[in-house]
Amino acid sequence: MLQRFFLLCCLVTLAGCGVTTAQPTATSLPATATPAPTTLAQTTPAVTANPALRGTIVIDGSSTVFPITEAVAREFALTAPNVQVQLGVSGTGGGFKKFCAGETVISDASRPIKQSEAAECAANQIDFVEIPVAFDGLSLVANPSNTWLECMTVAELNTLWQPDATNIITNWRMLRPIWPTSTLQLYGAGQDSGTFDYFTSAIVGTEGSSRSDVISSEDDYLIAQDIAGDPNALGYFGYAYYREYQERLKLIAVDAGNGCVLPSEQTIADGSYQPLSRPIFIYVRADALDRAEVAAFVDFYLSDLARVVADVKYVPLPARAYQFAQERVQQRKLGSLFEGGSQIGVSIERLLELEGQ
Amino acid sequence: MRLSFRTKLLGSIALDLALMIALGVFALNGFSNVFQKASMIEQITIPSLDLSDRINFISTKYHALQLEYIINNSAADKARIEGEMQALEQQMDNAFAAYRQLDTTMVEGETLNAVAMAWQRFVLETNEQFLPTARLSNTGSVQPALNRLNPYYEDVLSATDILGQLSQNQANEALASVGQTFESARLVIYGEIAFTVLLSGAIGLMLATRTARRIRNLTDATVAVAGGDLERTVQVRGGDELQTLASNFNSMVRSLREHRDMLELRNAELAESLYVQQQLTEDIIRRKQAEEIALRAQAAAEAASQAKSMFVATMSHELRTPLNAILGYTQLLHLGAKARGQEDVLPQLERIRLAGKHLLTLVSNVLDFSKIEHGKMNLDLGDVQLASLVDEVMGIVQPLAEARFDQLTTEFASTSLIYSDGGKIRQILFNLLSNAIKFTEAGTVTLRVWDEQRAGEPWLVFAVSDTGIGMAPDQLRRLFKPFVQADESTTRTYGGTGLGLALSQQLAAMLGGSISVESCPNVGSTFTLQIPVQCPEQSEATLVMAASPLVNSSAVA
Repeated sequence: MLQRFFLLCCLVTLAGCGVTTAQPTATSLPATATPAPTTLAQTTPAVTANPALRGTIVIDGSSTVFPITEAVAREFALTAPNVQVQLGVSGTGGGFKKFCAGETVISDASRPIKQSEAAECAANQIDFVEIPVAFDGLSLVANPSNTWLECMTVAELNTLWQPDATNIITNWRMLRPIWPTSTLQLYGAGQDSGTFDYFTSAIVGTEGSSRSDVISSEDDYLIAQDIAGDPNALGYFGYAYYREYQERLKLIAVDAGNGCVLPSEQTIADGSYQPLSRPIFIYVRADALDRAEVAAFVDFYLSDLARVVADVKYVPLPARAYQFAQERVQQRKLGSLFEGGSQIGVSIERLLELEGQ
Repeated sequence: MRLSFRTKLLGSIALDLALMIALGVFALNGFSNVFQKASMIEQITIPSLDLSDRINFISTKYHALQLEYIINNSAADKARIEGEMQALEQQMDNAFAAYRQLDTTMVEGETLNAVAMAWQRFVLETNEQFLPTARLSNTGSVQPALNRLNPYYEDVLSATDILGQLSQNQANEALASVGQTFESARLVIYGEIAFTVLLSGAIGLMLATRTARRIRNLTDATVAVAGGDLERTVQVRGGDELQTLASNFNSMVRSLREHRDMLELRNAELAESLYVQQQLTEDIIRRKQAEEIALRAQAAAEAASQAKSMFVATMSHELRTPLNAILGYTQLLHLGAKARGQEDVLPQLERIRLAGKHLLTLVSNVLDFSKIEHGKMNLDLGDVQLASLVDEVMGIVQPLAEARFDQLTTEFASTSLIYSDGGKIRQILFNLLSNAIKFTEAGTVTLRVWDEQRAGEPWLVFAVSDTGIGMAPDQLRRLFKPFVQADESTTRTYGGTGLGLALSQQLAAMLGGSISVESCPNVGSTFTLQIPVQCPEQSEATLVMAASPLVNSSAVA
């Protein structure tokens, strides 16, 4: 047992993952059978290989968007076997750093690019095309052994997550008297993560402002696994991750003043799940679109995106949105539709509206 | 306990043996259990532990290869690692197959299936989710493709852990069981050894103590008996050899006592008998002395008798010469007187002649007797015509019988020619006949002669019967003694020297025969002469016999 524990720690360290991850995931996972993850290959349409395409496409960024890009990249690898796609996850912020430094050609992002990031890109003469790819509902989850927690108000979440709560609000009763005195342990996205930015912005009120005693990682898989292994856990990540681990997690409803709402494809799509529903994006370096393999990849990305998004359990945008996206790529419409950073309460309609402009 | 000593010993040995056998059987059983458990450990538990370790190792290695796969971006490295992973998948399948071949418990089998299922999911996830993504290579700060595998890997590890724990538990249980079995077997063996030793010791001690005590009793008794206390007995108990010994000892002591008593009795008797013997010896010595005196007296008497016989013989011989002269001259005087017609002197002369003749007979008899006594009488053996001899004797005694008015008859039933001394026979017959005539007046004197067979030898019997005065038994006893007549008083009536019968007896003995007499007073007497037809040559025996007429006389009658 001990040996294995060390080995896993080593592995985690070697992988360079979990910037602030201190909680070992190894022992906390239940030994119950996990459901088979969404198999992408089954829904992959028959494609003809195009060995003429060559080159390397370097992608990095959000782990929230990773499942979508991953699915696309794997399918693309089948059509363009000689194109090397490098797919990394460093968080939205981490991704933009590389993107604006010119290291990547596509950056996955779970929030719009910040003005500071855009400025960085501009400084490096890197133009980009912003493409919304799906709608996500940041899901609040607890351990399934938690029998009493069903719904939390935004105010409670605010109280819980603000920096002042650090090492002070340590048990549930402090939040609501009917809750037990059992200790609570918060999990969340890492600081390089767009999800972190969005969550702090939506809940705490200030982007990037959070209590510090939160176990965090840019890899949502690790957060999900941690929460599945910790009975006192409360955390959040993209809806797709909840769906992938839904057997091992308990979804907590959020009350933003209109009653408790659980995230689902329905509540995310119709905007009733607030304030944690949000669009997610990819940013494509504009000049890279001149490269055939990049153009082909982006074209491939957008060609059947609704299906892919549904497959990975995000909420697809209306077909019109993807149409707009294709047009934006073709027309090389540069820059962000947003004012910079996380935009709270952006509905699909609003997105379409923005895109339509 | 009515058991023999041997039975007791054998019994205790048998009991020990039985206990030892039971011990052996138990130990064998215990160690067979230990062996079985140990075999199970060797054949099942250890391999299953090995295999669960191996499964653990393979899955860990597999996961390490996944990490390596992520880190290495070169296609060649990724291909190599994929190959290694496939090899591990194969090894894992082999391990599962090997594990399933072990004779494991159902729980372990189910756990193994859980491990296998977890592993299959892990491998499936790896091949379908991890590899396609990881093949893309990446530059990110986190590795979701790898981390996504964590639950699958965790499942494998925890299932493997349960399996390992199960194997370990089984091993521990088996070891504990072996240990316990060994412990209990050892405990029981020690216990039984102690019990056996104690029991043997107790039995041995009891037997030894009892036996020693009884032997000491016996020894004491023996010492006492050896010291002379024959009244000592030992208690007879136990029913074994010692009882037999004690009983035998008592018998022995009893027997000793009896022997001692008998010996004492004998001693008393012996002492008495010794006393008697001494007395007897003294008597004998005295008697011997008396006998010697008697013998000396007898020798003196015999010497005197010898001298007397010599004197008689010499005297008889000396007497016969003047007697013959007297008889001759008397004969001459008788013839002269007769011739001169001097008839008146003739009866006187006849009396002289008769007296002289009687004297001569007397002298002859004394001489003969004397000769016999000195062994100087010789047999003149030859063929004898018995008939003529009898006629001759009868002719001689005829005048005597006529003078006494006796009837003389002869019954002669033998024609034998015998080999003997005719003169002696004639003399004997003459004596017997003249004796019979002498004591018979106007009666009958009969001579009967016949043959007889005695002891295969032919004998001749002469019986002279008379109808005279006869004799009483006490007279018969003295009959053949020399110079004795049946009645002292008869000498004066019938005359005679009394030597005739004694002489005849001596002569018959010389001829190998004897004379016996039967008589009844006033009825008559029968004298019987018996001689062998073939007279034996004169021998020392007959001489000696003839020489001791005094001693031998009682043989007749």
